[in-house]
Amino acid sequence: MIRKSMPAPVKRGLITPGHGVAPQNAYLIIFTDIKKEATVIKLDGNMSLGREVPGNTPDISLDSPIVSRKHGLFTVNFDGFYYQDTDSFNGTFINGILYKRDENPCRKPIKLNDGDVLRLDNRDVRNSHADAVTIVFSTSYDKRSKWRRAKLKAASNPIGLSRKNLLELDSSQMAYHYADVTLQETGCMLCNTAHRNNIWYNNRPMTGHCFVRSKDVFRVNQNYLFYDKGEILYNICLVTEPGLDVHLAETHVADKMKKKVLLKDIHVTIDKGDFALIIGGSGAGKSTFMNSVLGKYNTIGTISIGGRPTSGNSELTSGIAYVPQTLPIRKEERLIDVVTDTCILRCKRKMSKTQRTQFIMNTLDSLGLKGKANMEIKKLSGGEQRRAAIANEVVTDADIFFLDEPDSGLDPKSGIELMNNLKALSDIGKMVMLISHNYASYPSPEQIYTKVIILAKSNRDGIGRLAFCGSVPEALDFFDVEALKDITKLINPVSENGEGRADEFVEKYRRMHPYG
Amino acid sequence: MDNMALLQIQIYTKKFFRTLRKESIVSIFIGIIITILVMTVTENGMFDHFEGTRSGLFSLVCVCIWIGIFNSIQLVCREKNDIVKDELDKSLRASSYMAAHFIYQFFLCMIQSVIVCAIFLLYMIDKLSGSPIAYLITIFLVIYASDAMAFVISSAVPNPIVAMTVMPLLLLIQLVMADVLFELSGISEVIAEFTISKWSMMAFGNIGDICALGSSMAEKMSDMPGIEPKGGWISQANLDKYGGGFGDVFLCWLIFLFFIAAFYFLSVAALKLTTRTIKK
Repeated sequence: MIRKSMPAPVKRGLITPGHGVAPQNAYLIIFTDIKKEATVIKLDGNMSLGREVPGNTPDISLDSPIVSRKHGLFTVNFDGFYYQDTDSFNGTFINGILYKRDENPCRKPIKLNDGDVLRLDNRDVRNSHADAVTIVFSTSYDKRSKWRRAKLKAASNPIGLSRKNLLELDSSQMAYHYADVTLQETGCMLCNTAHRNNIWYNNRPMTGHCFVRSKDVFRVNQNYLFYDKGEILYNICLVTEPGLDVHLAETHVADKMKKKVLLKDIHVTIDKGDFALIIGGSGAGKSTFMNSVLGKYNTIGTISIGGRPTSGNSELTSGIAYVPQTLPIRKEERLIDVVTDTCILRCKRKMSKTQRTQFIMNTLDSLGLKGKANMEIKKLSGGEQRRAAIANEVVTDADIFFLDEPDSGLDPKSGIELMNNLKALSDIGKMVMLISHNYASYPSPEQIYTKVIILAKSNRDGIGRLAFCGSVPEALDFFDVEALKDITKLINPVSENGEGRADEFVEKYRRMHPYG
Repeated sequence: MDNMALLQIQIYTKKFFRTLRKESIVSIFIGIIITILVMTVTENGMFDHFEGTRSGLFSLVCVCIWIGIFNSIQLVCREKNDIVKDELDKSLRASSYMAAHFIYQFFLCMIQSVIVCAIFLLYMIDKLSGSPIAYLITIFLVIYASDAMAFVISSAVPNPIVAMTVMPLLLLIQLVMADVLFELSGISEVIAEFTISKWSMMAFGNIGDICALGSSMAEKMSDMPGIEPKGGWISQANLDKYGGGFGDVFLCWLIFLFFIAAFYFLSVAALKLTTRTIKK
């Protein structure tokens, strides 16, 4: 029996609004027995884990003899969640590594990442205890998920999108036949048949095959699969996967051996289908913000894509399609050659040659470049070259697009065309974020951009801060202006012909969103 | 090496065949002019006696090194900051990128070495000593090793201006350390072991068996018998370098192959080092 004690003693002492990073939602998915439903508990503060006995009521109570009275403690800090084994008898396995009381590591809290698997079991996991408990820490779990159970057949059990599979999972990234589970005497063999990096075992990518023991949990995209006694308990996600979640306490550089803070307290969430415009005066940190997300600056805080933290997962940031101000393409090449090479090397989708050609031509067509496919890049106009650079990223089928002033140097007509092209990308579910100084020349920004991120340089310390993040009408309302272009005038320093009210709006926004 | 690395090498090799074709034609053309110029000047003394042949072969070595260095000295550095860094940040591996360059340069150097060798053989048609095939292989290896050496510089420097500033220094070291113009001793002798020019001279000298040609001094002094220096007109040091036969030629070829492999790894390391994302 699992019981969350009521009232939960939420101890938020470690979260200091001054440091300003509010951790995202986190859940513990607790698996005890295949015949029982998984129990999902929201981790909303420091919470103790243990077995309830008279005189000891842990916040998360597990009714299992393998669990010590005071087994562990979940803590929350400004940069995330931690787990510490508190002198339990059997210790805690975290992603297959045992942290036990007679070893030093258990004394230190271990930072938890989305998908981490905690197992409370015998020290010798090969001799698993019948009442062992497996807990998954998740920041991407959708609480509307539904749980299903499937009994494994003696032969292979395919997992994938198709109804023909024994385990039919639903995800936009799912292949028709994703993995295969083969029942064996003491467990089952999991085989990644699609050879993609979307299957995790003990929160490590699994591209080949591995042996899954009783009470193990593995993950396919956002689906957690708990294996026990020849059956699998798994969740079905009902909504799309989470987008880009940025919680930066600060971004800093080392300047003459001193730490120089460039950005502070930036909390931004970009959902699928969002077209976000970043605006701000010079030195407000617009490009710095993009580069922080791309991992090019030292940051304090958490950035997650699809619920997975980018820290330590460089493939997540390298999957962001980034178009910098200087176009990173060889201008001696023909456009069709450039995009074909990129598509072959970086496109996430598996395609036949015919499908790829069709996909590329459709992309070029959508960006108004179909007729220019056989031209050398250097022979294209400035606007066409910029669109070529964007096409070169679109063919990667990335989910997130960052564009640093893609419309600079373009006439208003070409700029509007470009914005419409980018809008079309967001309309098909991509996350598009761009920096622009020409936004004022485009009509109806509220119809183009779903979100506007306004960064302002503080008059007090010169650090860039978030002055607003929301829809265009909300922004106009927040700043009490008629048009977006009036906002920069309000927040720019007096020395740059502005009204120097940056700190006022930063403070106003912070008061409205104290935890981002 | 996994499938992605192989795919990257394949794609980038094709890319270089497309984008570098025009400038390679220019390189080949300039190589032809230089070879003809040098051969016109040096043909008279070659394969008549030891001294003239050594000077002529040294000029051939200089031509090969020059061609090799100019093939690649700017290739990486000119696109490193805007294009390669961005590609490396996304998914490209430095090792695949450099391997594709090396593959493309392999074919370019082959064409250049056939042309240089053909011009050399045309000039030396009636007096050549040694196997034409051995000359061709050596010319190719010298050009390719020099090409590889220039890749290290190109990967390490930030832009073409710096590359072209470093380039004369590189050529100078090769010329001075060839053990032809100056007697080397001490530290310079050690440095010479790592130069392409020294091993090129040794290879060409042994292919042509230039010690067997006799010294020009001996001809001049033929009417004055009895003044031959102790040990003969050709010094023991030269006999050691150029009188070893085909075994030494083979050794030189192996050393060139080692140089090419070492320069590949050094250029990959230099590229990684200079394009890595330094968290600002």
